[in-house]
Amino acid sequence: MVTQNSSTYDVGNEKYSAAALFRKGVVACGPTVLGYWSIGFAAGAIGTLAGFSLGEICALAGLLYAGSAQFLFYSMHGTGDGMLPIVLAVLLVNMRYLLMSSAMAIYFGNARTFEKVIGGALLTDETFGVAAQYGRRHGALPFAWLLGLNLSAWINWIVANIAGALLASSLPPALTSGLGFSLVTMFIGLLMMIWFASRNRKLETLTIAVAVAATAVSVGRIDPSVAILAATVLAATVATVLLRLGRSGGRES
Amino acid sequence: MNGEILSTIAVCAALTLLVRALPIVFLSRMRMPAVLLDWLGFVPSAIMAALVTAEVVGRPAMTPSGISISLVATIVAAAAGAVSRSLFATIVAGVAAFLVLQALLM
Repeated sequence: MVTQNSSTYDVGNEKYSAAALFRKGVVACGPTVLGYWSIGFAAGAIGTLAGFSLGEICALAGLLYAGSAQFLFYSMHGTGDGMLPIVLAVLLVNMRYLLMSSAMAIYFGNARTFEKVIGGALLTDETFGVAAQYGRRHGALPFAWLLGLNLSAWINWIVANIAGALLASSLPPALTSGLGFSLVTMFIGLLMMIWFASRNRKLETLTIAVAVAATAVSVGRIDPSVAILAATVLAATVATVLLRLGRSGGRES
Repeated sequence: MNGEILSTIAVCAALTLLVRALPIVFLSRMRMPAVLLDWLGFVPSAIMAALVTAEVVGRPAMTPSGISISLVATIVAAAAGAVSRSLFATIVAGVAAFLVLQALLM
């Protein structure tokens, strides 16, 4: 539980100033920076190669602020799609944020409205992973900590996009594809940290197994964004049903 | 700058903002039923696992001999994460494995 006076937060048994929590949030972003840089660099470079101006690339990085949606934007615009198909595709790819934002909501019960809006506006796959793990460990998400995490992610993302846009053709493709893999390793790392912070590792493992299996059989058959959403909903539902069955079974015996 | 591109960016950004912020703004005010809280508790691992799988299956990086570099590097990253319990070590081990395998096998 986090309680907040004017300038200090109690997290668990310890007291921190807002500035100290902000710094801790910045530090927590550290491991993901390699990922932001390689994907952001790639996104900016593809923007330049697709004929977008630096201003447009900055606007996409800063305002849309979502790697996969930015890649989609560039490629659909390149194949001549207009506003409506691009908007619908971006909305579909970003639907997973509805789930992430809902999962974060439990930590915002005492937060002010502007804190909720900013906390949501800067939500990404990576900051969600880091914040979900912190929330689980400490039972709370102090706004100063989240702001430190979110702002450093956002700024790194924009700077990486600009660097990629300016240096589009100077990196060897083998290196960029290898760095691109840091996106996957980041998700693996976040998944493992969430698992280690979990209180119910059996069901958490089952959730992962169901999500992996459901995604593996459906990717390639249906749109990957739909596959990810469907697999997430299925895995969380199976785990919840088993959790509930286990609880009611335990009560009876 | 191109006006149609900018307005498309603006609409995409506005809708994405709503998708990201609305659940936090509204659900945090409600007393959610326990079953929904349980369900949301499983969302982080489910979504991360789905994202990893979609990436590895969608971009396997197959060698001529039929090995998926993405899959092997995923296993290396997971092993490094299990041993180190460090996010940074997991990322570095996975990327290093990918780069080394790519240099050796492709």
